[in-house]
Amino acid sequence: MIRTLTCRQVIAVLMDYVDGTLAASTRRGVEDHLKACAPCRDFERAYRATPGVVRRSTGARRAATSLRQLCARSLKRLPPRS
Amino acid sequence: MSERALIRRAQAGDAAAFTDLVCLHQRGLLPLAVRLTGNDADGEEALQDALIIAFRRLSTFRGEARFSAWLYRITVRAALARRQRARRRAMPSLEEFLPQFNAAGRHKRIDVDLTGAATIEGRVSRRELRARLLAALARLPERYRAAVVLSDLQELPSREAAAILGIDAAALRQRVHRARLMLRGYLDTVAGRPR
Repeated sequence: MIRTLTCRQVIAVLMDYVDGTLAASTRRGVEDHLKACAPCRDFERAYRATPGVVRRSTGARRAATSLRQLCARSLKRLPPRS
Repeated sequence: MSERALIRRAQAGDAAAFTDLVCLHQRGLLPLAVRLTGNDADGEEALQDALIIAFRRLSTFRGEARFSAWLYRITVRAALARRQRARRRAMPSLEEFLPQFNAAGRHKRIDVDLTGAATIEGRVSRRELRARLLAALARLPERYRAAVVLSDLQELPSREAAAILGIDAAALRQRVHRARLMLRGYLDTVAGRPR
């Protein structure tokens, strides 16, 4: 018997679906659900986009302080070796 | 000079060698600290904390893990600790943006657009998006924040990210998935589409 997946079940396995690591039968179930469910299609599209948007948006600005400067500052905070 | 040689010299107290060693890994360290603390100033402070700890503990580095992973682990801990100290007021957790379902397991709200993350770039200024997303990362519960930052944002291999956090690959995936769900939901609201 073919069991229809709910939205909740589809969202629960979305990472595996996106990564292509789902078992074939479950993958077909997700695909069937997505064909029939517009909210889940929108959800999946945004889910796929999320890591890239967050990565691009939160990447390094042109650093006001270089790592070398940060290192120097850190080492200055250390007590002198006896 | 090779990384191994720099480590030996730094372990002997050579500050210049330590600086060179850290700079070999510079591409990831500051973004990692900024993403974990939620802003640039705290990120810089956290990284300085981490560098002090690393220099002090360098003699305990035996080379079982890669030096970059060792330094990442120290930076993650220092950034999470600084974030905890800097938290002046309780901010609502990003868990409120997890998807909601009705009793039948269907999306609870179907009258809203769920595509925020896919369309937001270009609709909100880069500066605003950066500030809002850094703040959102800070609102992720710690375990999810560290997982998604290492895995999705710093793009470390799963095995390495899991080792840094001291968890197995399955737990890492579960945490990354949950963090993505929260961030995805949050981006709907940033895009101006209330849920």
